[in-house]
Parts: sequence; structure tokens; C-alpha cells
Amino acid sequence: MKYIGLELFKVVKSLQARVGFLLITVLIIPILLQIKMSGQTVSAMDISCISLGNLYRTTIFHLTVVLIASLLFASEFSGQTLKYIMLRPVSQVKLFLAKIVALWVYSALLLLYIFLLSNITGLLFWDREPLHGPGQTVLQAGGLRILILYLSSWFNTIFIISLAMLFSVILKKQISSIIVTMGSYFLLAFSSNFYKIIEEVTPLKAHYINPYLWDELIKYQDIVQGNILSIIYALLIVGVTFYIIKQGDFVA
Amino acid sequence: MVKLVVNEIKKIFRYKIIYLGTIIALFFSLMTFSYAQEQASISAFDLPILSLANLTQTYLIVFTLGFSAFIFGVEIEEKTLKIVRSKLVPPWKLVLSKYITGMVYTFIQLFTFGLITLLLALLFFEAGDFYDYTGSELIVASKGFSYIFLAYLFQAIALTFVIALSITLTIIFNSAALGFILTFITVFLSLLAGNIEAISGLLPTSHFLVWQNVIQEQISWKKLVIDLLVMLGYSLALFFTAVLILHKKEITK
Repeated sequence: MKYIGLELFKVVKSLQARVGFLLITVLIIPILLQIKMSGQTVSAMDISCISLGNLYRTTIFHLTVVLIASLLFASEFSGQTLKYIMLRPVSQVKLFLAKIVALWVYSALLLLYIFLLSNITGLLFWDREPLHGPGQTVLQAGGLRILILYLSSWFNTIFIISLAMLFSVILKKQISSIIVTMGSYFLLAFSSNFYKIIEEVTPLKAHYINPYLWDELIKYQDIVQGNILSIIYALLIVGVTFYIIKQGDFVA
Repeated sequence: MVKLVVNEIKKIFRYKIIYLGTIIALFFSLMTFSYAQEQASISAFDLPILSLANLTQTYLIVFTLGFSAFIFGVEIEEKTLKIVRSKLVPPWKLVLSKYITGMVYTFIQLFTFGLITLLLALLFFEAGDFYDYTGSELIVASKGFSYIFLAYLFQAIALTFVIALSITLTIIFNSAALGFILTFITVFLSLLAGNIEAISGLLPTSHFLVWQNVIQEQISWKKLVIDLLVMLGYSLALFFTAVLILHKKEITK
């Protein structure tokens, strides 16, 4: 718990975390203005989903999380601070787990910020309800669908965090781990264009949540499957990362 | 200058990221290839075009801008920039050498990728007539090699803009990671602003996909030249900005 607090402090104090929030703001506002100018019939509920959808589809949300993830993990190697931490009686596993939890909390804060910013701004221009589906159909249980969308996105984030952690430990440089993490994620998303099966058996199932959420009936089974897949993949990657950490001599 | 560039190129091959990037690019290539095998009728020339179309909007941008941020950022991270500057290398030479290194690597990466895709395609598919970039008109097979070469060549030149933007932002923010993410966001915002007709023509992203001017029944040379000039104009402006900022940073220190 003490480590988590320290890591969270490190995240909050970092310039990059603040840049993350700033970027989200800079990106949401033009999207909203564009929708306003186009004269589309939308509601504040729609805006909450459109904003997150855009940040998610363009992987800008992922990029922001990966930026902070690489800061927490890779910077310990490139800044050579890890060897000083390891000179003290600190458990490596506990330390890295604390970093993961801190990042997950940061991504929750980021999602909450996206929701609040888009919802409040949306309320200034449009009505609060209803939530529209494809072809302007009005969807029931709009609030529940938005909650599921945000929660599922949060669960899915654990996969990208673990991936960034793995590449940070292998490459030990912040920028390298960002490039390779994002490159691998693009490869995964790119491959699903050609083979739909990839979407079914990887965390991409939770990434492309729209077909399960915007139907008349919410497809709970698929959504839960997608989130479980994200967690299973994350656990596997974290396991491999811990193995690499245990094998390496980071104190030297 | 040549010595500086050669040293830079030698230096980059020391890093694991170069090899990991190449492996990821090869996976991309194989993915396109295995997809094509499932199609009923496809020309060998369609594959490198399909790859280029997908890559220019995803992996290539990420890797090119990431690599460019990396080659400058690594100097900041490893604190070697001071050593380079103490050797009285003028800022313009330093920035130019990074630009050239970025371009050389982008050319190598893009052409290796295109060549592997084309060779694989030629082994398994007939080099017949192929479709233009919209998929509506056929282009005769005899134009295949030259068109693909030109499409890759001009797209690599257009990528200079991404290299320039990434290096400049890395210099401004003194961080490769921030340079990377801000370049990505700038490109995204430029794409978004492209929807506003009044300013669309002035934005770099509206001129970025130059390969589309080549993969047509008749190459649209006029548009190609305009697109490239816009991209190179932006790159040049970014180059001077980077040099100026680097120079000023030195003075304040």
C-alpha cells in the first residue's frame, strides 16, 4: 500500500501525466465543436460515448497510458534509479505490482475526466438524454450502457499497461518501450482486419465493444468474455515480465 | 557532415528497437500476404499497394515518428548531447544529421518491407493487371514495377514531414516521449481540422498520402508535385525552427 501511494505520487507529480490530461482536453473540445457545427442530433449521453470512442479508436487513450507506464517502468532503468531502490530491502514483485496498480488508478482518473469533461460540455449544448444507437435508434438503459463502456475500457487498459511493462523491462528506455508497445498493439489491431478470429480470442474483443453494446439488447456474455480475456492476457504478460526481472541483475 | 551521418547510422544499429521494429514490420507484411492468399483473384502488384495503404496510416507513422524522436531523445536520455555539442558541431549540422539518419532509416525500412512483400507476392501470384488506389479502375501489369517503386519512393519522401515534426518537438520539450506523443496528437488534430474545407488545403495531413497520386491509371504528376512541395515546405520550416531552438538553448546554458 505504501508503494502504491509513492508510485501514484510519482505519476501525479510528473509533467507527462499532466500533459496526458491536457491532450485529452485538447482533443475532446474540437470533436465536440465539430459535432455542434455539423448540426447532428445528439445528447450529452451520446457525447460521453463519442468522446471515449474517438480517443479509443485512434488509440490516443492507449498512447497516454503507455506514456505514463513507460515513465514508471522504463525510466527506473534509464535513470538508473532501480538499482538504488534495490539496494534497500524492497520486494521487486511488490514494487512492480504497486506500479501496475498506480497506473490502473491513473487510467481510471483519466476515464473519469473524459466522462466529466464530455458530459458537462455536452450538457451545455444538448439535452442529457437519450442515448442513440446506430441509425439514430433510441437505446434503453443509456446510463447503464455508458457505465459498462467506461468500466470495460478500464478493464481493457490493464492489458496495455502490462504490455508496456514488458517492453519497458526488455528495452529499458522510455521512448523505445512506447514505440514497440504501440507498434505491437497496432499489429494486433491490423491483423484483426484480416482475421476476425483474432478479435475473438484477444483483448481486442473488449477494445471493439460497440457491437455488443449498441444493439437493442446488451450482450453481457461477450462483454464479460472480452474483459476476462484482457485480464488473462495481462496476467500472462505480467508473469513473463516478473520472470525476466527475476533473471536479470538490475542492481549491477 | 558525411562522417557525422555515418556515425549516426552506425549508432542506431546498436539499439534493440531497430530489430524489434523490423520484426513487427515483417509480421505486418506476412499478415497482408496470408490475407491475399484467401482472395480469389489478386495480382502480385496488389499486395505491396495494400500494405502501403494500411501501413501509412498506422505502423509507419508510429514507427517513423517514434524512431525520429528516439534518435534525438536518446542523446538527451544518455546525456551525450553535451558531449556532441562540446565538439563544436553547429546546431544545423546536428539537426540535419538526425534528419538524414531518420530519412535513411525510413527509406531502408519502407523499401525492405515493400521488397519482401513484392517478392513473396511474385512467388505465389501472377503479376497481372492491378487496381488503382480506389479499387475501381485497372492498371496494366507492365506499369506494375515502376508504379510500386514510385509510390514507395514518394511516400518515403513525404514521411520527411513526420521525421521533422518529431525531431523538432523532441528538441522543444527536451523529451523523446513527449516529442512522440505530441507529434502523434498534432497529426491527429491536423486530420481532424482537415474536415474544415477552408483550411484543409493548407494542412500537411491533407497532402500526406502521396502514394495515391501514383497508383492511378495516369499518374497525377501535378498533384504529386504540389503534395510533395507542401510536405517539404513544412519540413524545411520545422528544420529551421529546430535549429533556432537548439541554438537558443545553448546560449541560455
